[in-house]
Amino acid sequence: MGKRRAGSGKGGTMDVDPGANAGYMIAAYIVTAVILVGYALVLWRRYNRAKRE
Amino acid sequence: MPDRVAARRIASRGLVLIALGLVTLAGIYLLALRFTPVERFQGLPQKIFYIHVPAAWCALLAFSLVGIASGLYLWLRDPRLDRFAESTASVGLMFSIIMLTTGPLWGKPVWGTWWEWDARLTFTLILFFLFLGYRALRGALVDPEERARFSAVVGILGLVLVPFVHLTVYLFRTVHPQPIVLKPSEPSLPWDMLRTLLASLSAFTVLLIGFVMTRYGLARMEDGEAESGKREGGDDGR
Repeated sequence: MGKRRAGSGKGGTMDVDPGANAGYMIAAYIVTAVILVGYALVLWRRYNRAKRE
Repeated sequence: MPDRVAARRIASRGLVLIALGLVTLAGIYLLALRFTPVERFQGLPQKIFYIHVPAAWCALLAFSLVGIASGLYLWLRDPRLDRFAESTASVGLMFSIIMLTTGPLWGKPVWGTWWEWDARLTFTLILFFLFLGYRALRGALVDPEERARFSAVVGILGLVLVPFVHLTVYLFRTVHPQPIVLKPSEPSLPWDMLRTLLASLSAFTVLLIGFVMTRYGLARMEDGEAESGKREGGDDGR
């Protein structure tokens, strides 16, 4: 696999399958992006409304 | 009117910071997912660390600022401090939602459970509910002075809880890992991982500042509108 692992030299073996449970990581990154971008858009729309009034 | 111009400037600068923070965060995603090594025992779910910890940092920082601004409000009675506390509480809640969502997503593959009723997790949830209550209280009170005074007391209670949340891992037996960066000794993290964490902490902090500035600027703009509306109403009535 050639993946580097923390605290070891290159070429060492992983103690877990590196691809295992990737779904949890992907879900966490997507949820974070959706919340942050969503909140930014809400504020952006509120700002534009307040600017017009 | 000059106050409204200043408020608008604060909000627009906040939006610029948010845009900057989001672009930086896209780079952090790339850094964390592509160029940071996979941890040996946990595998890929450990990379949730790079968003979970900064979100927790921002939430706790925001709630601390709410408490400080609330205390200052009770002392100085400046309505701007109340507006700042309100804006920071909303942003803190948003970061708490990220923290409370990414935590279980990390816990399930590593601990084998989505949630554990241990001290750290439970007190974090209590803090979240306390600030939900803060928002509800503000919505329920009509008189601005009364609203500011009552919610300031709740904000200070939240500030008291923040250090306790941080110290729970030392005070109780908990499944939650102990701090590996914010502790008296050196950070126990390889440089490759520490670099990504510090970059992510910076991006999240920029986002926190941007969100608070925008939220605060908007609140002041809306206050200005309400006041001018009242004034116009008063003129008509005369």
